[in-house]
Amino acid sequence: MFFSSEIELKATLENLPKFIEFVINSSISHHLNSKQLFNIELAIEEALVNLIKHAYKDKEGYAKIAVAFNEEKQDFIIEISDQGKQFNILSKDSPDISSDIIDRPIGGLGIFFIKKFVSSVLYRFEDNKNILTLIIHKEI
Amino acid sequence: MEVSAKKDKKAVIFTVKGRVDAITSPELEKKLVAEIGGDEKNFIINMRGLDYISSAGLRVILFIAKKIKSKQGDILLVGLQGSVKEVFEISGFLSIFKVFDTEEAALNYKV
Repeated sequence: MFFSSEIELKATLENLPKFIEFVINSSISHHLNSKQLFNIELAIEEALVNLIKHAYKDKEGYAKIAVAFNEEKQDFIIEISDQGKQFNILSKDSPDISSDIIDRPIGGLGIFFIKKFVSSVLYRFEDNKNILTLIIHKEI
Repeated sequence: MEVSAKKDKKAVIFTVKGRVDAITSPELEKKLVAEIGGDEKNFIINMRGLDYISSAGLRVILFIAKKIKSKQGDILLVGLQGSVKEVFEISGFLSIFKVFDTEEAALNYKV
């Protein structure tokens, strides 16, 4: 896959808006709808927060986001990579989403949201990097 | 993000507008915690003007709800729309919270 542009910044909460702005700006020429843009923003936030907390465990590190568009499949593709601890988000169990307010555990929704709000999620560990690929099918 | 609180005879009504994300959610938690410690038992959160919420925001809502429930209070949500509503639905929150279209409907529930 040819990635048309990318951004690399320190993986911090302060940089979260810059990462999101980069992806949203990169998507403009592909005319995604407002729901798709919301879903992309949510998935990126959850992925970056997860990466800061787990891959880097609040230590300093960089995150890179690259974007591409597959014309044939009409897929908008976002690849997020870090050089932190190996962590396959796809191996995490889904949270309990049925118990009531008192029993419901706090947390665990971030990774679940990444899986639910994009069309597909791929993970690979390559060259000591966690690489998460988020694919958004563009409905025609 | 903007948060405001007003006291009605039957409930404290919070209005949350804008974006509740990993950056703004600590401020939301601080503002809600500051208001729920008194004698009031019933709380309404109006989210009609909420454009965006992530799991960091839901974490705060659940944390606050647990505190309110633990003092035998009640928490009602108002005005969920569009993608924000979908976030609540997918997380299962729509089935564990009482949700109303308007503040009036929520207040009537508390008669």
